[in-house]
Amino acid sequence: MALGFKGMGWFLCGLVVAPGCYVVMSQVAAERARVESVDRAIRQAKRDIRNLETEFKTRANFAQLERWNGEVFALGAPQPEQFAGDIAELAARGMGEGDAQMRYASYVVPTMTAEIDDAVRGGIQRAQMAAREASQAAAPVQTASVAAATPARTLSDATPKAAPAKPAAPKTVKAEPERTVAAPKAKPAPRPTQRAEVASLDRKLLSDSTMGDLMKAARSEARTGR
Amino acid sequence: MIVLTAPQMIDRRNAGARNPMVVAAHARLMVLMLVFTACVAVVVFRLALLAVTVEPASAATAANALVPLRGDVVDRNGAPLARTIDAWSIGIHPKKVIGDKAALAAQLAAVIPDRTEAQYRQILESDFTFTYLKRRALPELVADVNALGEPGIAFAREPERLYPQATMAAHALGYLNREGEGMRGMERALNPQLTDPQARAAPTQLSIDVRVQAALQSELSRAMAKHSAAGAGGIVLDVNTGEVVAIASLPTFNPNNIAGATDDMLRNNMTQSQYELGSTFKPIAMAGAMDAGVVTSMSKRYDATAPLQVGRFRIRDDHAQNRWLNVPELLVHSSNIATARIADEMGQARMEQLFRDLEFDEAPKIEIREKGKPIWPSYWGRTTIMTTAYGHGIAVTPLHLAQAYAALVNGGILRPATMLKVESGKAAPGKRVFSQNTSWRMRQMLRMIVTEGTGRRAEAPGYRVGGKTGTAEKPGSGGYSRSVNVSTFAAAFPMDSPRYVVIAMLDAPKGTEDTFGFTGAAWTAAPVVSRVIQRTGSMLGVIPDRATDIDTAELKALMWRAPGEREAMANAE
Repeated sequence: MALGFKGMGWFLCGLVVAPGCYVVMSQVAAERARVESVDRAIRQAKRDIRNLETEFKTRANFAQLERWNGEVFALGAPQPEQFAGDIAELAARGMGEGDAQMRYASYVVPTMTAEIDDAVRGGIQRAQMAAREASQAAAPVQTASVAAATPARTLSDATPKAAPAKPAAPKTVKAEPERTVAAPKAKPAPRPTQRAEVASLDRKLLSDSTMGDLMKAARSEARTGR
Repeated sequence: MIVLTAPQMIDRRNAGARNPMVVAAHARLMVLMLVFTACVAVVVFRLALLAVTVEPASAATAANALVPLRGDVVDRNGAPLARTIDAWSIGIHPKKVIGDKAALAAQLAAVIPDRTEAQYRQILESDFTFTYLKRRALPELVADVNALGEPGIAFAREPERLYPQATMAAHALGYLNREGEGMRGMERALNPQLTDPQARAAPTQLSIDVRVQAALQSELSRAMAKHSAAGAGGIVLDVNTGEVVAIASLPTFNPNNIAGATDDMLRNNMTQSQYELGSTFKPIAMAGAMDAGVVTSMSKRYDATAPLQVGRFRIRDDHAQNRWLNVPELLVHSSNIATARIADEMGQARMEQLFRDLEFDEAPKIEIREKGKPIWPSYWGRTTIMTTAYGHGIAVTPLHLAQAYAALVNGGILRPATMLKVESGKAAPGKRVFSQNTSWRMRQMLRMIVTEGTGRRAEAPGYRVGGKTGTAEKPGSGGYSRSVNVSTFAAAFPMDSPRYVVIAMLDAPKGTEDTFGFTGAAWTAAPVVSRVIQRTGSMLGVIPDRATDIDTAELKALMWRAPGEREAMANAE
């Protein structure tokens, strides 16, 4: 009799312990899977960082920076007078000139002048308006790429007012949507607005370097991936 | 497995004997059991093998996924110069195209205007199993082509080499061919290292400083455009380590897209082309003469009263002083006659030895493989000895000149130039070519050339620049041409404790209004050096200071000046 109960006891014992063990094991497995997915995410993030960093460095390459500096910032190399050997020299310089104001290097913030800024903003607004008008005016054959092409054209041609006239002649638009984009590249405008020149330089830079819009690609990939 | 057998009739008469059917069944069961055991054994063995040999997926494999196919190249501060990225490529399987091929060709011609419609039709009707339509495609283009909805068109991400700085330092970096092999510059020189699976994970650091490179290249291209020069080039070299901080050769190419680059653009003028570098050789010859004991005193005078006739050859001064010149005056006025007299005193053996010591008889030892061997005189006559002292009759690369100037100012140690970053304290030991004392004298005199003499336009306030102009007549098809020059300025700064050598060179510059038509180095190359030093000096760790300078008082005392001479001399070569 007792012998029979002993067997039963072992059985019950197993019944309690086995699921416990299973729960522990499955939790460990789940935790490990989570760690792996975090690892994967880290790897993906590192790759994204690398790509974005590359894009940033490409867009902000020295030729581009120098162009911006030449057109907008006009910052020059520091003069020898701007270097002070030690604190005493700095103090002597500041005190010597009576009520001369102390100026810190960080106070000289390069900004766009209001005039240029207005011109640029106005140009962009006009370009956007032109694009909107164009997409409304054009026949049903008008594709999205043409609408996208129009602001690019107006920007680099710097003749936003003339732009709406273009889509009004649907012949050229319908025939080769890509040609309209390529056209301004072949014939650079004589004297566009500041920003427009920057934009056209950007485009040339990218088509040369094949890099494409990594940012956009990364975003669209992230969207489709999740 | 369950085996069903019909119960057998027991033969009571033969109960002792075994039924042969039972024996056969037992044997079959036994074989079956052995087969099962063997299968299990194989599985267990394989599991054991895997458990021992295969490592679990870990951080190491995860990191491997980030290792680029070809190692990155970065500058001395870690800014990327060359990287491998995933770019889109568009290809087509002509046999898998299901739509109307003529219509597809028209659509492709509209979307990718690289080829004509006829060419696309030819591709679509060919027997190829696969061909590329466009490599390095932009994502927008991929989206447009994808919108055509043709299943025969395939898209893939392929590793592509990207040079974020485009044309900058193109000659130093080089480019890749379609097979991904480095073709020029460091891509070629470091090809094994960059593709090595173990080594490529870490970026390779070059000695280039991208900020200095940018300034040098932009100033050179400015000067080249201003003077309508055929070419330009420049080097910034660390005098104590031999590191090339910047090296530019114009016209240049875009390594991202080398289609359309001509041989002229691809040639690295700084390491490949040999030039007769003119008067920039005078300080070198002078230092050699001082070490050889020919020039014993700074005040020793040499006859420069009249042009020097040697056989059929006549040596003239461009801005003749027509008097006896001492050594500082000789350099400040850049006198060919007096230099030739000193070279004559030195003689062939010592002159040749000087140039051999400076390694002017072999290609530079830099890692870049595109380099030229200097044009060494085949016959050392008396005129050769004299002309080589002022940089004619011997042609070296500008890199040779930079190395020699580094040795001239750093205390006399010649170190091979290198494109790889040198950790502090690990510079090549180099070899002594000038004595410490001579080097000190040369620093004084080079500084005086800038403060008093022909190099005044190279002065960068506060940076204590010293250097020498060199305007060589360029040999053309019909001999030397007076009007076509190679204008070089070789400088070092700061002269009180030299850190960097800066070389600027313009090939066949033309005079402009503000240079009064002069094409000499004083007017064309010297301003480039001045601007480059002003833009980059403080970045390179040289703090401009107007109060500090090398002491040149004892040499200045030796200078004799004619009235109104300062103005006239600024135009000298």
